[in-house]
Amino acid sequence: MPCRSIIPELEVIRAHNISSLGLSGNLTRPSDCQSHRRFDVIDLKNTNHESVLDREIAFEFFLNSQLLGSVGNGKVAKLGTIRIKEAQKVNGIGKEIHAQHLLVLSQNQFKEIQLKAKWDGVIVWPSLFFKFRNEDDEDELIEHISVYMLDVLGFPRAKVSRILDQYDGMQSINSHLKPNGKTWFTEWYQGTNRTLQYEMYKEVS
Amino acid sequence: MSVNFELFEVKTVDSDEILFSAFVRDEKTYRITADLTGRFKKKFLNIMNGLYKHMYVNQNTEESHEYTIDEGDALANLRKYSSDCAEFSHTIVTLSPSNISHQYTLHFYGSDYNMSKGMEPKAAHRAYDFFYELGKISQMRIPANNYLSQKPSEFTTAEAASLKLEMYSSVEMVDFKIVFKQLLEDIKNGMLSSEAVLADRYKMYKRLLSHFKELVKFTNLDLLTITIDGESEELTNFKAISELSNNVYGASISGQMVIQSVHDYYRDDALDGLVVDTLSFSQITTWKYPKNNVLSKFLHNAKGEQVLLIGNTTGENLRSLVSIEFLNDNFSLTDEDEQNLKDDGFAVIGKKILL
Repeated sequence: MPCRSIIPELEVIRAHNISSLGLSGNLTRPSDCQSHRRFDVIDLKNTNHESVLDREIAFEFFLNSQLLGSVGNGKVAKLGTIRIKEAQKVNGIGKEIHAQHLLVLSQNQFKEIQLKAKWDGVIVWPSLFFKFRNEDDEDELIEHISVYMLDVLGFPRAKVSRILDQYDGMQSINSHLKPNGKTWFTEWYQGTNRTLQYEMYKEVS
Repeated sequence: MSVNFELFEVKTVDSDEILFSAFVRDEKTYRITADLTGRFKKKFLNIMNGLYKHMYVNQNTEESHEYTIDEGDALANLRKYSSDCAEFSHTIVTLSPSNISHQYTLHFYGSDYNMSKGMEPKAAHRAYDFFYELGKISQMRIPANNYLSQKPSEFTTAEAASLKLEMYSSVEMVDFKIVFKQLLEDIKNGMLSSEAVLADRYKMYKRLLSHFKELVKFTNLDLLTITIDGESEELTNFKAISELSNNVYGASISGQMVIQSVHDYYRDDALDGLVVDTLSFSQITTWKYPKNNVLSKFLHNAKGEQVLLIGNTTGENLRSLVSIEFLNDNFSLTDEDEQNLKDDGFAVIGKKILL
């Protein structure tokens, strides 16, 4: 297989085997395999052989692609949307999947993981230390968050201002975005006709 | 000069809180008055300059699209954003006419100010101070004109290279403009106006003058252009302004006043002082004269009388008295008063006393 040198099939599957949650990955169609690029579609099943995904994961691996966090090119994995079924959402599932991705990609000498965050991902990915490709996008998201704090959480201006002054990445404020008994930020945020989409990246090693 | 600023406001839908607001005329002339996140300014500039864009996903088709704005000019771009933003944001954005409609421009041209780096920091700082003071003076309350019933909205904008300061206001500063124009005229003629000419506006005139004499400290200043209502005046000889200003004290002045009281300056055995007010009872001044019990006693008894005083300025509110003339028709000096005054060396001609 010409794409084996990028990442072998078994490693793609291993990147989705999460023993702590009893999840295992399998390729649902043959790889689109070229010397410079590999494309896989992966399903993630629990111990009852039920898929936990609303939509299969699309993963694209490049031998030599532009890096977003540093100058030049390198091995890059581009992750499509991960949408987990509502009933299968357990605390920390996104974090566990990401940790396994990171481990396997790191062991296969990938430099960077890239994705387009949308829906819940706009909060999940930056909370996992993904960086915004375009800092204007981060400013835009913070604008949405400030509106959410004022309108949904009912925070006074001064409190919003104080929280934003202390902003040091999404992980520093995401505790405010999933309040008990109130609409979560991502749910509220998707209440417009258009969901914004942000390009993000994270260095693997 | 009439100017039109629009007010660009971004508000939350439910709580009606202002996230961002700015007065804006074009992409270079704007004043931000609120920015809750501290991050909207960049977006605001991007929108105006046709650089704003974002990626979004169509909720139905899940296709990605790029949203851009390029309507050709800053205000049109802001208007486009305000009409589209409900599609992708939980905010209400408006662009509406503002109450800012008056403009004063101050443009400093200096021998080395026209470089791209702008003025050297000290001069720039001094220029900002100068303009800040002008702003404060423009808001002085003049007793006869109470048009400043509430604090006007106003702000300044500045260009970095060859410092150009523009002051915008929601009200027309009637007195400020009159005084400013008078001062510029006087500077050109090399002779300052007296309190008698400016009456209630004299205090404003003096404050303005005190700042103009500081212009000499702008060592690299060639030219100061001041534009009010589209009419420009140019100042070049800053040393002459300073000297003119220094000569204010000692200048001959006159004015119609009402006698309020007489101060016996017992600690200063050389002087007494006649305390008078302007006819509109707005500014107390003291007109001093060599200590003299006869004159002081006479003036004390004339409290409330309207008088024409001639003298010289010796300080902000101090005058040295040269002559005093009583103006009321029914006022007359008694023979005894006249004789006593003459005995003490004063000349008395009708109702006028010469010191």
